[in-house]
Amino acid sequence: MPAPETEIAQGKRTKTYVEEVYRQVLAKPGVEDILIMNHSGVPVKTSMDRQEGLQYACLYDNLREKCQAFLAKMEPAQTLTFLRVRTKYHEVLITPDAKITVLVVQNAKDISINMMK
Amino acid sequence: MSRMSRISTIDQPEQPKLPPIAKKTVARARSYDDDAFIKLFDHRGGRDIIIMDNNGLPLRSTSSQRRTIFLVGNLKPLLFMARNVVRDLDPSNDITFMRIRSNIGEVHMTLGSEFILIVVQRFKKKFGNTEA
Repeated sequence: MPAPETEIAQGKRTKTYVEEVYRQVLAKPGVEDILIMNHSGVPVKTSMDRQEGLQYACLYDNLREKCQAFLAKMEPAQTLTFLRVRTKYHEVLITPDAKITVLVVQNAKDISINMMK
Repeated sequence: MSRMSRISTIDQPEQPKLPPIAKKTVARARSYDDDAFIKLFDHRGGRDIIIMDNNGLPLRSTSSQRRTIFLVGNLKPLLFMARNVVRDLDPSNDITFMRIRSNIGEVHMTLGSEFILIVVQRFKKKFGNTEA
């Protein structure tokens, strides 16, 4: 199995890449939950319970699609790189990517300026 | 000439305190009210600001009527949809802020207790899609 670092450098979205993303994001301060979906919105790896993860994935994936549609309608046509929804108690970051979408739930009080890569 | 009802700036508690700005003539056909907040952002490039009331009716804007209506017509349902998502997951929770970022620009939406503020901006440098 190739080392995760070389895979990340090549940008391949395989299982080790997913594991690495999962591990690195959970290590950051303030992060409560993480959910990784494949390109059709099915949760692949999550730190929440399955039921909750499914709910989050379904609802936020829907929202992300609507945002992408809005950006595509604008002049000039843009692509969504990042979506951030902040609420009273926490903040949800959604990063659509080539083949995966990463959803991170983090604590609202603990904001560090770490853009999720 | 403002065709919309006047809202005094003191009714917007979440605006930051801005230093008084010297009035400059705005080089446009339409003129805005003595709205120091809007005038300040007029000088910066590539930014649209829309102030709406709680129901999503646009009150003030730095862009043309047509563009404002286009933006509000798309962003207001998005914002309320996001609010529904958040409430579905946790009924006690409520959305305060939403940020949509693309490779060319960004849209910020802030929900105050009595108003909604939307800022649309463009970047000078273009960012590609995030890659690890």
